[in-house]
Amino acid sequence: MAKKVLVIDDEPDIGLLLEARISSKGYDVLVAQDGLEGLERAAKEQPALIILDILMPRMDGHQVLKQLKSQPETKNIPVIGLTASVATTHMGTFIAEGGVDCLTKPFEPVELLDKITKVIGAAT
Amino acid sequence: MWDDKQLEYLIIHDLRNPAASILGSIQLFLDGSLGQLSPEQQKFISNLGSGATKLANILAELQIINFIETGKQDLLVETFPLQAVIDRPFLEAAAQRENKQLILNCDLATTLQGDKTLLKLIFSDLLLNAIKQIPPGQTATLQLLKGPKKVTFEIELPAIPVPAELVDQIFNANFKVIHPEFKSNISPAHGHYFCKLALQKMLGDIRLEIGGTWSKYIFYLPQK
Repeated sequence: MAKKVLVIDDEPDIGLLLEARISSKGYDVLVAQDGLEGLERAAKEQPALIILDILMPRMDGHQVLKQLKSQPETKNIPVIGLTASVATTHMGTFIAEGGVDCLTKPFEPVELLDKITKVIGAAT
Repeated sequence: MWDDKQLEYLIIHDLRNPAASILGSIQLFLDGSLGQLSPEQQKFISNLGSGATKLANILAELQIINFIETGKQDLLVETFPLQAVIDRPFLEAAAQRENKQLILNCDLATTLQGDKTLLKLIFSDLLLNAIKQIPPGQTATLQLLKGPKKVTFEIELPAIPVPAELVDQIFNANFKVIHPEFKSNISPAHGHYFCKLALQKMLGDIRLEIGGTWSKYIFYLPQK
């Protein structure tokens, strides 16, 4: 069975793009369009990895990460941050809060897939 | 009321999302993930890709200018080969499209220390600008001089018509075009200002030198 990757991003076109890229390597990709939906799906689907946009309305990526890390059923799921900011400070903060890595938009497809493989290995 | 710099940051941030989406979708076409393209489709999608890459770079530069000016840009200093910050195929294709030549007269395996994100943008900006400035059929050349404590790069191109009294000013944010001859040939670019700010942030600097038949962007970075 293919490993699940949950993408949480409020931009549907970025979600679609990530789905196309990540599923091309055999992973099963789920997309949530905000933090609340992301938290629900993370708890229910138990993905191997979460890719989480940092700047989102209502509940931003920092808050989502904090919630994920505070719940027993999601605290061990690795989370890669996704940001449209080029400031390394933002990425450093996310990693200090418990993220395993961070990607900037626009992302290089090879870099994206390398990071995923590094964290959870191949799709099956 | 919005603080000007905060508003600028948010606008740039919001523009980076659609730019990422456009660029990412074009890459899906170009790498064959969405099926085989005809040569004509390949040509125009490549054209779109080049435009989207430039757009994404401009937005990244504007965001970094904003961060440096507001004291929010931290450096991530790493050690890497020069080839990690020079997109050779992209730059050579850009030169070829305009019937110009780019010569990278340096060993791309040379090790560098610096902020990779900033250096990628600096090389892309200066080399694309050099390609833009030279007449068709002519050449721009990048050279590297590695010293014990710093690495210096020179981008040489045929003389660009900047009046001597303006040479020191073209990297300034408030640079104004006042010379009629200059105005007709070159316009001030945010990219020059970005390169100067980014290099100074890494404790380096940049200058332009102009001889009779040549111009040179000369920039350096301290190395440990």
